[in-house]
Amino acid sequence: MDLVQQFNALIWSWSETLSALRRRVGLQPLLIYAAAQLAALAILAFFAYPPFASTVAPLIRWRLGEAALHYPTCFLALRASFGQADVVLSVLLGGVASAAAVWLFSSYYTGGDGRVRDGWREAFGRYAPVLLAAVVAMVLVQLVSRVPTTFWGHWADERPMRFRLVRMAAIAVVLAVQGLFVYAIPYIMLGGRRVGGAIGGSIALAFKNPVTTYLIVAVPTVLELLPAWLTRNGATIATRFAPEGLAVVLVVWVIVILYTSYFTLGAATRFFLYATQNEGVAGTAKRPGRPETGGE
Amino acid sequence: MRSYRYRATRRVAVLALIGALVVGLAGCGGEELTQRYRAERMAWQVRTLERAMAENPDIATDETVAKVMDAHREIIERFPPPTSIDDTTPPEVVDVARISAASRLALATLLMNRATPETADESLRETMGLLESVRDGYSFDRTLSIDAGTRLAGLREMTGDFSGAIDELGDLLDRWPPAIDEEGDAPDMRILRLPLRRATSYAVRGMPDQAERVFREVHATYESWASTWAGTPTGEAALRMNADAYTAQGRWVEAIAVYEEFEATYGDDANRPSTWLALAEIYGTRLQDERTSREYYERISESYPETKSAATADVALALLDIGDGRHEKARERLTSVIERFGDEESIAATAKQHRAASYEIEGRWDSAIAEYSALAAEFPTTMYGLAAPLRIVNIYDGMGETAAGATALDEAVMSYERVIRDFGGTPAEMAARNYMIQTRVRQEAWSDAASLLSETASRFPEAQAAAGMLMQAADIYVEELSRPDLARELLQAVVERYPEHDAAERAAGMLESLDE
Repeated sequence: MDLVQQFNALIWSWSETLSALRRRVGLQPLLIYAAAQLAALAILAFFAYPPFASTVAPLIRWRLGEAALHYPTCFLALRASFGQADVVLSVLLGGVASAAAVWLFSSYYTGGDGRVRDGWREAFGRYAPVLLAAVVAMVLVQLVSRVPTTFWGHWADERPMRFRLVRMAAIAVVLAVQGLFVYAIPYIMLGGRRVGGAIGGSIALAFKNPVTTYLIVAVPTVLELLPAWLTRNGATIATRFAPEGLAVVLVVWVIVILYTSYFTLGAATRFFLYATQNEGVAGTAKRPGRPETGGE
Repeated sequence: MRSYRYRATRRVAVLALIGALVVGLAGCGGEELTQRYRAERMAWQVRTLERAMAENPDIATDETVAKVMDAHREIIERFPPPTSIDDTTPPEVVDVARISAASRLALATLLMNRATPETADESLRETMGLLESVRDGYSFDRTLSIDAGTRLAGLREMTGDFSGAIDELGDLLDRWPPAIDEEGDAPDMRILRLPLRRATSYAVRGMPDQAERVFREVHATYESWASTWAGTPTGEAALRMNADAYTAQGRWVEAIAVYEEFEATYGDDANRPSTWLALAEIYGTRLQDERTSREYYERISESYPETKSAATADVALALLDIGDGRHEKARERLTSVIERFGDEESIAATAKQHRAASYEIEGRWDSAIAEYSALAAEFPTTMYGLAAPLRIVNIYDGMGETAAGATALDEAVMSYERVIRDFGGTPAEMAARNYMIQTRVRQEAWSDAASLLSETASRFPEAQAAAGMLMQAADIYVEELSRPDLARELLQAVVERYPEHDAAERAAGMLESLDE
C-alpha cells in the first residue's frame, strides 16, 4: 500500500474501532485484565496490612529493596513494583485477554455475533502459542527499553538533555518493536498459525505497512503521556499532596492502558483482517470491509 | 447434569478451602511491618504539617500547633517505649521505637516553645517526663539518648538544678564513648563537647574553684581520649577540644602549646586555617602580641585565600591596619574580601561595614554615607545592614546638617518598613522593628513610636523585650502624648500577661500613680 492508502486504512481502522467501542465489543476481556491490574495495584499499595504483610512485602523487598517497604517511599516505588507485577500479569493474563478481544473484534468486523464466552474459550484454546508470543514480545520490549540506562545511564547527570533524547529514541524503538508483534495474536487466533509463523507473519505485515502499523501502536500511547508525567513527578505529588495520590495516578494509568490497548487491538485486528483478506484468514469471510482508498 | 453441578460445586469448595488456608497462613506474621507502616504514616503526616508551618509561618496558628502536638501525642500513645531492644529485635520494631522517641523529643520542644507563664510549670514537668522517657526507654539508640540527656541537662540547669544537670552530663559521659564506631573514625561531637560544657557551666555560674577542679578533669579526659584514639578522627577532635578547653579557661600558653601539637599531629588543609585563626586570636587579643597574630593572619590569607577563615583573617588584618591608620591598605583588603565572598552575606556585610567605618574615621563623610547606603540596600537583613541607616543619621548629626539628618531619618523609616514588609516572620523583622522604634523616637514621632511599640509587643508576645516595649509605650503615652487612658491599658496588659516579669511590678506601681 502506498502512503495515502496506509493513512486511509489507519483512519478507517480507527473509525471501525470506535464503532466497536460504541457497542462495547471486545471490552470485557480487557476490563477483566484491568480489574486484575487494579487488584495487583491494591495488593501492592496495601502490602503492609495482613495478609499481604507476610506474603507480598518479602517479594517487594526482594525486588526493590528495604526502602520500598517504608512510608512514603513505598508509594514512590509503587510504579516500579506495579510495573514488575504488570510484566507477569500481561504475559499470563494480558496475552489471553488480548486474544479473546481480537477474536471478538474479528467476529464483530466480519458480521458475526461472537459471544464473550466464546472469545475466552477460543483464547484459552490457544493459550500456549499466545503466551509464547507474548513472552517473546515482552522480552524484546524489556531489552530495548533498558538500553538507555544500561549504556548511557551516566548521561542522566552529565548530559541530561542528551539522555532525554536517547530515552525518547528508545521509546520510539519500543513502539516499533511492539508494532512488529502487533499482528502475532491475530495470526494465532484468526489465521490459525503457530508461534513462529504468527510472529513471522506479523513482522512481514508490519514491514509491508509500516506507517499504518506504527501509528496504530504509537498514537494511542500518547494517552499515556499525562499519567507518565504525573508518576515522573511522584516526589512532588507525595510532598505537596499525599503519597497515596501516586496510587490514584496509577489507577488512572490502568484506565488509560485499558483504552490504549482497546484502540490498538481494535485497529490492529481491523487492519489485519483487511490486509490478509486474500490469505484466507479465518473470520474474514463474512464482512471484510475495505477502506476507500481513492488511489486504486 | 446433577453430576456436573456436583463436580463444579466440589471444585469451588476445594478452591475456597485452599484459598482460606493460604490467606489464613499468610495472615500470620507481619504485624511488625504493619505497625511500622502505621507509625511512619502518622509521622509523615505530622512532619508534613511541621514543614508547611516552617515554610509559611502564617499558618503556624495556635490551632495548627495544637494539631501537631496532638498528632505527636497520638504517636506516643499508640507506640509506647519498647520493653527491650537487642540484636534479635526485628528492625521494624526498632524503627517504630525511633519514631515514637522522635515524637517525644518534638513534643518536648513544642511544649517548651509554646509555654506561657501560666503553663510553664506544667509544660516543664511534661517535657522532663518526655525527655526522661527517651533517655531511659530508648537507650539502645545513641543519638536519641544523647539528645534527650543533653536537653535534660539544659533544662535542669535552666531551672536551677545545677547538680542535676552536671550529673546528667556525667551519666552521658559514662555511658557513651566519644567515638560512634570502635575504630574512632566517626567522632561524636556531642559527647566530645560534654566535658567542656560541664566545666564552663561551673565557670559561668561563678564557681571558679569547682570550675578549676572540673577543668583539670576535662583536660585529663581529653588527653585520655586523644591517646586512646590517637591517629583517628576521634583522637584529632579530642586534642582540638583540649586546646579549646584551655582557651575557654584562659590558659593561653597551654592553649597555644596544644594547638601547635594539634597542628603538628593532625594539621591538614581542612583544619589548618581554623587552627591558625585560633592562634592568631589568642596572640592578638589575649597576649597582645600583634606581630605574631598578624603573621598567622597573613599565613591564612596567603595559603588559603578561598576559605572563610581567610575572609576572617583579612578582616582582622584590615582592622589592624585601620587601628594603625593605614586606611587605604585596609580598604583594599576589605574590597578583596567583598569581591571573593560577595555571596556570603555575613562576611560581605562585615567587610562593607568596616570599609564604611574606615571612611568615617578618616572623616570622608560622603564616601562613608555612600558605603552605609550600599550596605543597607545590599544586605538589609544583616546586623550591619540594619544598623546602617541610623549610622548615616549619626554622621549628618555629627556634621550639624539638620535637614539632611531629617531626610536620612525618613529614609531610615522607609528602609525599615521595607524589611518589616519583605522579611516578615524572620528575626530581621524584630530587629527592623527595634531600629524603627529608635528612629521614630529620634524623630519625636511619639504617636507612631508608641503604636509601633505596642504593635511589636503584640506581634512577638514571647519576646524577652515584649513587656519592656509595652512599658516604653505607656511611658510615651503619659509623658509625651498626655493619654493616660491608653497608658493604663498597656500597663494592665503588662501586669496580666507578664506577672513574673520585673516590668509587672513597675507597671502596677505606675497604674497606682495614674489612679491617684
